[in-house]
Amino acid sequence: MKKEEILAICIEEIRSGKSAVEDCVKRYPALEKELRALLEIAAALKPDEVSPSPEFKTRAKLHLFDDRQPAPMKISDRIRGWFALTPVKVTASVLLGILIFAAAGGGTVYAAQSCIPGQILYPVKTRVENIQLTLTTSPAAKGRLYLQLAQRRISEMTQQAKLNRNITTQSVETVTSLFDNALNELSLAGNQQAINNTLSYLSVASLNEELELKAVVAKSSQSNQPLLQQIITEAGRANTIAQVSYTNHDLLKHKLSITNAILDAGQFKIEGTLLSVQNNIWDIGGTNILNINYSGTIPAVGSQVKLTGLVVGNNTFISNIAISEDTPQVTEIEGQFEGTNQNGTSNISGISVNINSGITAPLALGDSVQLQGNTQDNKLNVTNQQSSTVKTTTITGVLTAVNLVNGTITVQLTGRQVKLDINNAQIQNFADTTTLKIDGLKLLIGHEIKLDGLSKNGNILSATLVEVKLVK
Amino acid sequence: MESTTPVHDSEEYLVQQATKRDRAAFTVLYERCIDRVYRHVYYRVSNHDEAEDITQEAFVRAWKAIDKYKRTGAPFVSWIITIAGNLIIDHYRKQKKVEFTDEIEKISEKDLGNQIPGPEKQVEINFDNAIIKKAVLKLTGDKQKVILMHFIDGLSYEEIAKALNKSEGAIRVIQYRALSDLRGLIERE
Repeated sequence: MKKEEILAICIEEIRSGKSAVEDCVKRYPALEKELRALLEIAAALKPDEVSPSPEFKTRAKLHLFDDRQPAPMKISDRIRGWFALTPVKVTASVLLGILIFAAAGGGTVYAAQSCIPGQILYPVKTRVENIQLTLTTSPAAKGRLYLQLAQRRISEMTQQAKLNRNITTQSVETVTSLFDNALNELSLAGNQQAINNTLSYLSVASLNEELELKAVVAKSSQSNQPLLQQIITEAGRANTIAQVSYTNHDLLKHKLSITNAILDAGQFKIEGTLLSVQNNIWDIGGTNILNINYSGTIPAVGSQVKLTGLVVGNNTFISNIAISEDTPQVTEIEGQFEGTNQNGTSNISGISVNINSGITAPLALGDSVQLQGNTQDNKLNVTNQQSSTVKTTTITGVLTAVNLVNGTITVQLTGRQVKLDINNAQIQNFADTTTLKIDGLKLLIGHEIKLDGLSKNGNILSATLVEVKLVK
Repeated sequence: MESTTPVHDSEEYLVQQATKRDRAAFTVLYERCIDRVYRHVYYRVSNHDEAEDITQEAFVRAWKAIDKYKRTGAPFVSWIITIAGNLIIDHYRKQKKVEFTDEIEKISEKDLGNQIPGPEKQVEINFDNAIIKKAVLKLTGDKQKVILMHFIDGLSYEEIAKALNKSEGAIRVIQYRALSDLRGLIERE
């Protein structure tokens, strides 16, 4: 059969959904290279997703039978056809054209059909991205662009993993650099609102990326697994930076790389009575938190507080303070065990905790630990100890809506609303693990909510465990 | 005076009536074709204002010339698209070169506004489509026509063959050559 006939058959099969490009290519191995390139182009040839407006259709219909001489066309001078530009401006025109399509609604969701490394369009795509980076000057805009590119590279890796193609170390390094470049640009930005918008974007994007990659990692090849796992870890760290920086822009000035393990080890939560605040040292239930960076309103001494944050070097960055409506009960600290200090105290995520008694199992270096207890003479008598080497994906945010019909809830996370399916989740109280029903959550709108065991299926985020507590 | 001829469903009948200056029949044809004509024009000009003007003008001219319309077996829409295509060529012939603007930076800044969709619904720039479109518009003659008719206008090989007065085999050869040219254009980009 002639090449043009084979090509035409394959095109029709692909367009009707009967075959994929790879299926056709396999049938004609002698033409593999050429056929794949032509079919990839054919697959990308499609009309823009546009329709004439109803107003225009009505207007045009009214003038169908106008007898007058046709009026000169009122072509807008705002935007011209980019393909008519002079040759020296061709490169810029490609980009301008692309941006115009996107701005005019001509863009489509960046999905599976987008090209991946090894395909004919890929080098062009990355060249255009580089031009876009060169032409973007404002640090906040550039930061966001770097994040979008990181998101694209991760999406490509996901596709490669699904197609069982090898992911390269270089691809992973590219993602790391893109995240780090984004954070570096944000550290240089001056517009506080733009920084927050970008951090908010990073927070939800990195959570999505982490969950999307987790969904494919187990099914991917052995050679791809460690590389995907590295990106999952780094996306998690990017999420930490976003959450902490959102309320504390000073963290960005530390120019932390997402390769820095301090972003895992330094995360902590502490809950207890705020006993004193002195020279950036807060005493919570007998444990001193040093060098606190916090620009918000400091809670009143004596209140029951829950602090979430990150310890970097000698600095403690607070990402969230919640004030509990419960009566003061116990002191609780959650973080990573980093060993024992010279003075005999335990180092949990960089915070010195003076443990008096109650440790039931020795703490192992690097373990995620959660200790609850009563404080006496600034020493913690542990009444409940939990430790784990496995870190599940967890988010904590403010419950803003509950949909009883769909079994979904909406949680506000760094300024963004995230919808989650909790149909298959166990819902319980933080403190006494009492099981609750979903309709009970309606009463807790506006309070803090913690979701554990997160996963993603398509565009739907879901949780297996929902923990709630009256904390505003 | 408006015709009172009842409007039949088939395109063949409607076209036959329209060629007899039946406004009602032409209006039905207009309603059936407008979306496809607009999409074709938009693909080539990438601007809503221009696409509307050219689309409207194409139908006005089609009505004026309807008595010259000759049935080829190709769908009626392909005739309107041909008229629109000629208007697009005329338009760009008349158009002067324009200077590059700072549109890119403006769009990037705008991107940082509060209306950013969440990543789960993130609308992204479709690089593939834009790059390929630029290459398609560099094709000439029948190669461009075949690509646009098949992939953008959704015509079958048979319909394209009738519209261009060629055999279906010839259309497939042109398609193969056009896609090969596109490959070369993209690789050189």
